[in-house]
Amino acid sequence: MNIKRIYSNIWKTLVWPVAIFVFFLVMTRLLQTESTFGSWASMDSIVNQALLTAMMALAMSCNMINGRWDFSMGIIMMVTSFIASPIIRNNQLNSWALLVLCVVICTILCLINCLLYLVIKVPTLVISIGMLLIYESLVMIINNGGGARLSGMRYTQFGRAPQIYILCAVMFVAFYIIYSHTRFGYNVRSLGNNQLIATNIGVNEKRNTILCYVLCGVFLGVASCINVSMKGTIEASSTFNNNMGMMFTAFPAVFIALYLSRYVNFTVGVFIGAFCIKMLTAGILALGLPSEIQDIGVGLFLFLFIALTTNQGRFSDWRLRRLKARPGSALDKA
Amino acid sequence: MKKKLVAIILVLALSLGLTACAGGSTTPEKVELPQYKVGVILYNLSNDWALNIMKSIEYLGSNLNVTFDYAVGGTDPEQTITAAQNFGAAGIDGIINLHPGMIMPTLIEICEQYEMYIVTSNDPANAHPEYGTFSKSKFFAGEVWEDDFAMAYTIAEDMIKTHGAKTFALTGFPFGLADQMDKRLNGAKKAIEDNGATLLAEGLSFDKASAAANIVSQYPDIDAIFSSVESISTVYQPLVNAGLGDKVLLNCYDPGEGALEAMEEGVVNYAVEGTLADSMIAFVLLYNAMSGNRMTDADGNAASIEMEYVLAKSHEDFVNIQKYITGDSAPFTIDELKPFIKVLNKDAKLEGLTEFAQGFSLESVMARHGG
Repeated sequence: MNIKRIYSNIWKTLVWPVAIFVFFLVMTRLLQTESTFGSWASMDSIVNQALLTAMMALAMSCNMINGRWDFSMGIIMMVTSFIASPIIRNNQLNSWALLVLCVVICTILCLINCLLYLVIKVPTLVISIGMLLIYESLVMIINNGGGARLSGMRYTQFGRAPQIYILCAVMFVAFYIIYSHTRFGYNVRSLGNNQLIATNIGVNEKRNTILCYVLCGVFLGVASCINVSMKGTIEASSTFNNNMGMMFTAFPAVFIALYLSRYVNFTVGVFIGAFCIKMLTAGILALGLPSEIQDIGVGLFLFLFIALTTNQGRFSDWRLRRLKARPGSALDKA
Repeated sequence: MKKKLVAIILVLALSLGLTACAGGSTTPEKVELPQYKVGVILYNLSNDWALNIMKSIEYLGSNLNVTFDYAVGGTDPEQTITAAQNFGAAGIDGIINLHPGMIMPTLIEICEQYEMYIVTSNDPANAHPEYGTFSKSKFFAGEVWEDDFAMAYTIAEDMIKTHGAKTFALTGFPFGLADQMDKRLNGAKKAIEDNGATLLAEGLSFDKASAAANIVSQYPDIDAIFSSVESISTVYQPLVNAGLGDKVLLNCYDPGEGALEAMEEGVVNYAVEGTLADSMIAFVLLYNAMSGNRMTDADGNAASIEMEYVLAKSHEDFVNIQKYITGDSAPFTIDELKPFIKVLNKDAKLEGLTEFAQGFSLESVMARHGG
């Protein structure tokens, strides 16, 4: 790969986050709002939030690439923290135990979804909605509907810097290796590109599906641990614990990563996608806009991003036509 | 013969004496109470707010031969309507609705169809354009409510006047989700405007914890955060993590687990409680209606009783709230409410119940229950 191509890819990868950052930095200064958007502390907070979203996005990405949409991811995270928190607190364990327990519980719950999918052979979308309803009822029973509550550094160190950065860095590297440098990762992509050809050349789809759900469980477990460590308290009620909202923030991060994967590794793309979404939310708040307009801003960004990226071919054609139409251009002569 | 006559006279005298003693006893006449089943619609069945309400009305129910079924209304009116229909199909006698009162016309229609009574508590229905019509329905037992706008105004104004807060942020659910929470946000906004303070940001989102984290990170110099909901699970942790716990003023509605520590640490400065008290008064209205003694005003409109929230401004206040209101003892005892239940006191009047309910405060409960 030549150096020009590398620079081009870096530029194309970073253009969205840089544009969002510069836009809000300039706007907050022009409007003289009292926010500190762009300061180290504010960017640190945005990165922390983006890391949680990125972990969720990584968890769901392998399944999404293969068309397996799962709406129960958010509630699985909640159920996990509701089961793990009292065990950790009552036995006075520590953050490492919380992390391990969350990973184990999430993996088991994801494998239940997987098993149902493989046995019943109903689309994962349907299965996940059924499981979502079951888990929403279950959270009212676990811990007597008391939700999750952990406080103190002993239990919540993975919600704070630098531990959250170290943990996420390890997970990013692990995902990068698994997705980009293992047979499993190649199989995920080949099945995602064309299932029929992939199975004909010998890819074992069932085994790949199980491994996808195991990977999903591990990353979702890490996300669950970070979530309960950052928030300290999570309410049992699905209305108040925002399990669907969290999941729907992670979906766009995967979309952005799939687009950016033309220019940069998918794993980096997921983080950039999550960072863009979180920076956008924080930036709109920093402008002091009324809440009614805030959601419009996020919606418009997604709309604009998807419109621009999915219509790139049309933009290229348009540019080509303009070049051809220019008198004396090389294309015109050709 | 003489001896027999003397014996008869003595027996009669003794009998009359005993009868006279019995007549002077304070034991009331035993009333056979009917059996009722009441359905309760709540936002949530598991948080402390809901558990306190359930505990209070079950205490009354256990004394009045009433059993309860519960359903979640969520924040979705459709869910509440479904819950009411399910209660109707299950043969419930009456409903206590703690969901926003603005869907009352539909709920009353369902109640008329199934011939069951309904009372609404926590959020009023009286701002509804059709209130004049449905308040006359014989199945509408009434409403008991607090003025959320006024309480929010009081809190925000106190933050400004007592603590000198100049810059504010709002947090909670977005507008349009629940009428009650909108009133709180509007009350706070009005107080901020009226008192010359500045509203810097509205962090209103379903992802309340992230919104709170953004407020804290984008506006670290902010003076106060007004939350329209419970804030221990949303704003507390970001404030503590940023080291701003004792610098930024914060309020909390329906405080649950962790609130006592948060008030002691000074992270939460205002706690609002009291919904369980109005659910107990609502129960009395419903019980009277179910027993054929619906309480109405002179024009036949269902009862509409406004009560006050209890506001804790200090750790000590909150300890007293937990001891006298949300703790083991209920804000009202069954003996205090019996005079307003018609099957137990045929002279019970709506005016008396209204006056008693409106006298509810932390001080009045402490005075009544030996505080």
